[in-house]
Amino acid sequence: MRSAKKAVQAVDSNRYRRSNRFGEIWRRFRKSKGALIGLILLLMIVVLLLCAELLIPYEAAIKQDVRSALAGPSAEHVFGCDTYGRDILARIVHGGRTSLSIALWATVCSCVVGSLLGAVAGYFGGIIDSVIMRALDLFMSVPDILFTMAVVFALSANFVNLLIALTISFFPNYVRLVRSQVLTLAEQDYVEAARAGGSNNARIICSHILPNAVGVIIINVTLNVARIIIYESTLGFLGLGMPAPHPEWGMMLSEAREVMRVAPHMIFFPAAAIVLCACSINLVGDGLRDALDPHLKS
Amino acid sequence: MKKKLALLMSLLMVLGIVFSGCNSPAETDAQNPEDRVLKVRKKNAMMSTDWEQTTESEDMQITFVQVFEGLYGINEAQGGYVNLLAKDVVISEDQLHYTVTLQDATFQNGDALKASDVVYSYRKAMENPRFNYVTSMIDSVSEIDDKTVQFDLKYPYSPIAHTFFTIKISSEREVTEAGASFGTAPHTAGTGPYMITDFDMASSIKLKAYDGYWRGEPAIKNVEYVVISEDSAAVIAYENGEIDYLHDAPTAEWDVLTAAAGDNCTMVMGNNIRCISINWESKANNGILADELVRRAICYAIDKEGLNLAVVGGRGVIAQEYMPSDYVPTSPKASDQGFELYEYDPEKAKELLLEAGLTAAQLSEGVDIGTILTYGAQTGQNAKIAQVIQANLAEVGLTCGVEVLDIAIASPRMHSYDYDMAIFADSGNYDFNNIRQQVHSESVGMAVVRYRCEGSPFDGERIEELIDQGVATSDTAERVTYYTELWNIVQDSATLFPLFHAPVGICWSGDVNPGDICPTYYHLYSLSWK
Amino acid sequence: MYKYILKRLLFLIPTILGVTFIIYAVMNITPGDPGRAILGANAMQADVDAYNHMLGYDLPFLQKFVNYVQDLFLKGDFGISYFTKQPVFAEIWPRYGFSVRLALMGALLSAVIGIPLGIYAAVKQYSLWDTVPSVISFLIAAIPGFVVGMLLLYIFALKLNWLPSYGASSLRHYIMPMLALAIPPAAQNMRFTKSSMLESIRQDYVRTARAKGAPERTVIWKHALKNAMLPVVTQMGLTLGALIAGAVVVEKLFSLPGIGSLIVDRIPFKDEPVIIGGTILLSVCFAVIMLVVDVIYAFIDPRIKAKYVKMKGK
Repeated sequence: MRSAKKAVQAVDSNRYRRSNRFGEIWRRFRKSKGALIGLILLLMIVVLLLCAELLIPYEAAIKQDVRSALAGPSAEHVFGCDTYGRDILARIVHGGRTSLSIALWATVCSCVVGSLLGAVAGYFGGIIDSVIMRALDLFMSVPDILFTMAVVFALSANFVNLLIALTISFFPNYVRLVRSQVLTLAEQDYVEAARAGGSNNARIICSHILPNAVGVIIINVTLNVARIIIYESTLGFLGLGMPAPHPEWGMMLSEAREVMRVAPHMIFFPAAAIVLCACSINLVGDGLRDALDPHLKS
Repeated sequence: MKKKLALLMSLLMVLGIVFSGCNSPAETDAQNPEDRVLKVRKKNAMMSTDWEQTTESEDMQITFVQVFEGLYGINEAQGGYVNLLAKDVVISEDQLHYTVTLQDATFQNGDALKASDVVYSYRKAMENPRFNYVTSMIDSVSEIDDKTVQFDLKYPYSPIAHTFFTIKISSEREVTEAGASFGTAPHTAGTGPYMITDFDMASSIKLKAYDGYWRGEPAIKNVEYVVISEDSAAVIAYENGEIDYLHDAPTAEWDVLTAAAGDNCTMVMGNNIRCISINWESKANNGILADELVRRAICYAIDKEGLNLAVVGGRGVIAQEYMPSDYVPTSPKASDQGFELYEYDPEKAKELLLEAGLTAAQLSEGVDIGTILTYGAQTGQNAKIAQVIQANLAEVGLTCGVEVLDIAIASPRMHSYDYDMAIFADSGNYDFNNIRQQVHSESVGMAVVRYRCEGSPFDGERIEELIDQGVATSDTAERVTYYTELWNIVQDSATLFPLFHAPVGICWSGDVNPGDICPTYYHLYSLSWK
Repeated sequence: MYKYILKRLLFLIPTILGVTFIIYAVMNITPGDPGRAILGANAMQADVDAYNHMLGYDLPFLQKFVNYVQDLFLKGDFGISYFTKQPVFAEIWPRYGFSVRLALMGALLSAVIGIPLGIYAAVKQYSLWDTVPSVISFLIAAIPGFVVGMLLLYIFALKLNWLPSYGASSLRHYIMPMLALAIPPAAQNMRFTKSSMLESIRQDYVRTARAKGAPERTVIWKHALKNAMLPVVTQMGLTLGALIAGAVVVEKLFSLPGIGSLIVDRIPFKDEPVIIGGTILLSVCFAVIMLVVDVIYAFIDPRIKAKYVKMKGK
């Protein structure tokens, strides 16, 4: 009796969702103050980064003036200067473009690859599941950081290679997460109902299972963008980052750490940029999650 | 729910207790100086206890000085070499035979140092390709009697002192007994003042004073090297009094260190020189670097003062000579004006570039001259030098990339002339003949620029003639003339350009007398407790 | 179930093979060679080549792979480090033990901090118990791990002088690295637990249980929590796995003899035996953790357990 009721409810909510999805999501999203603040911040960051060239020319980010090395914030250099006397504000703005786009692309690539594999594995089960999961185990069992390092070492550090390395390290998370969702969802009655109704597998995965796993995927995508930005800084710490003199947040932090106590502004501003950016992304992610998953909100 | 909360709170409390329980200092200071341990910071794990297998300069600071000894030692404070295990050296008329009388030293295992140990150690080193550069001139080493060894050279070679310094003497008995495993464990095969008693590669190396040391028992009995990889952690450890001796202290936080150390620190000029080499064989932008005018323009465009400021906070010493002539008597002197100095002059650089046929329009757009290759950490000194030079060159209209690789990857590329420009460090010794490894056509695998080869625009033959003349005589003034001419050729070619000597900071704790201050090979033997 | 576990354990063999293969393949396209690194910049290229030949480094990578696998499986021999000449196993084993200890403590601490806070935040959504930890975890999730570590170092070692700044010679030495290791995943655990718990609280069976008049405590702890823990368990497993190798930064910062930093240090030198031996140990460990996670999973979620039973029946 319980399951029948549940099935009806689930099918209902499914149908309801598809009808005016975006309006509905937006309406719910708007309700959360945090999410709105996050969205506004994020939009501001994105606009700022997109218009970076208009505000501060790229030249300013790489122009050295060693005589003002390590200078603190002043009218001329609002955020101060780094070891080479380069303007930190300009480097943050232009570095943000690099860091964010690496993070975004890496997230998109790993999400697409991972979710599809996970959905297929979880839904079909059996041999397909075993093959995918065992191959994945193999992949996952080589620790991220070592894999990333080895790949970056082998291919040398630049935008595309960092992207490849990050995708390789981050896609397995999606496979496992989506699979575990699908494992649970595939047992749900509405899926069985759809199956009984003669829907083919691809249709069931795409229209019944993935949308319902979207909550988990969204949370992870948002967290991941932020996490990759941070992971980049870890790579910077280990000496793997964009080639000089190209600014990038991770490398900026890494350069700053040896003078942390002499010139704290050098670590503060890039760190603040990372925190601000990651926080706003996370806020938006949380808002989206609440908006996408109506039954999470009473 | 409340129960869980209580559980959580109690857990936090336990953590709190653990924390507060840690309030007492790490180790109570041992009162007895016999038991006191001198803690020295080490950046990376030690790879081997065998001097032949230690490759990192930090490891060599231990094996080359504290544990093993050579026939000669290096005197970094005044420059030059001093007798160590060699009590006396007699050179034959033709400068081909060196007869060395040995000190009455003993190995840490108690055996007396014998001529056979010296012969054994040299023969072993001569088989090791790593030491080719200092042993290739030796024809044979033979034992005359128990305390006398004779070296026969293939040709007269006055810089042999560096060989006598580099090759260390180990106990034949102990090394043969240990076989292939020698170097992987503590041993007593050296004659130095300290023996390794504990070798945990990952975290610490312990040394103990060798009381039978031939120059007298060391004042400090126990030494522990602790591995602290992060510079800022090392600074904190020093401030906290967790380490007693900090060699090659991080220059970036020198102000913090001096504030904590007061009088117990000093900064000296490093023994290494940073150079940039410009490869005339580079294929970058249709071989633009083959043009001497472009290379000279690059040299003029480099702001050494700025480099010094950005890289080491202005604490380095600008270099105009390949080796500091104050220390190296055989070195050409900048003050003699025997060679081009390329004083920083961006205007001149631009003029030269225009003269080389580049147009002002091309320059304002940026002319690609390839990549600066270097090695070390991404935020290390070499990488910083490369970045500053990159910006210097951009000022005069030349654009280039920077590639920072690991030394194991970068150095073969440099030595096979597969690069455009390179930043590297050359370790000083006290004879200008060291230049041979940079300019001689036999120095394959050592030189980064070819001077004598097919298509070379330089007078490579003359360079090699001068090197031969330089080692054939022991007359310093005569050698300086040869080397000045040689260095002038090299500078005119604008291929090998000295930048600066990085500073080396040394800090010690309040209860230590620092002894001799040496930029590279410090002697624990000279340290003592206050 | 036992059969399943056995099967998974047997799968360790292809895992080892795969990992070895992957690493040899990646190393094969990585520039540099050990001979040059050992003999130094001053050695002649011919000597370097000879040295590489002596090490067996210059063999084609497939052959190196086959030789290595033969030695490993037939003789249990991990080889000898190109660099230190130490047997690889002797070199990596103590470091491995250290890393596992540190990671276990870190993961445990992160669970102890993160999960209860997450549950509580979900149960008391919108209260102070939710907002304060959430905001803090937000911030922490956005700070790079090494900055956290450096702050700890700065506060506890320098300003307060409570804790030693390097090494691992006593329990006190573990505190800072453990915290540095645990804080970022704790924030992550908190967020994850909270969202998973929220999801589960809103599920129909929880509503049904409530409607049936079960006391709130039973509803939360028995019905909601059990389901909410499902993704959290995966997350924990991943955290533990990631911490064993991923402690590299913390190991470097606090100068700890862990296996991650050992491997990372040897990658540039291409000390293949150490890199491969270390990675094999790590991947075996990781595979075992994942197996444990899957088993726990099956126990928590009866539906999945049923599926395994079904599979067994087939």
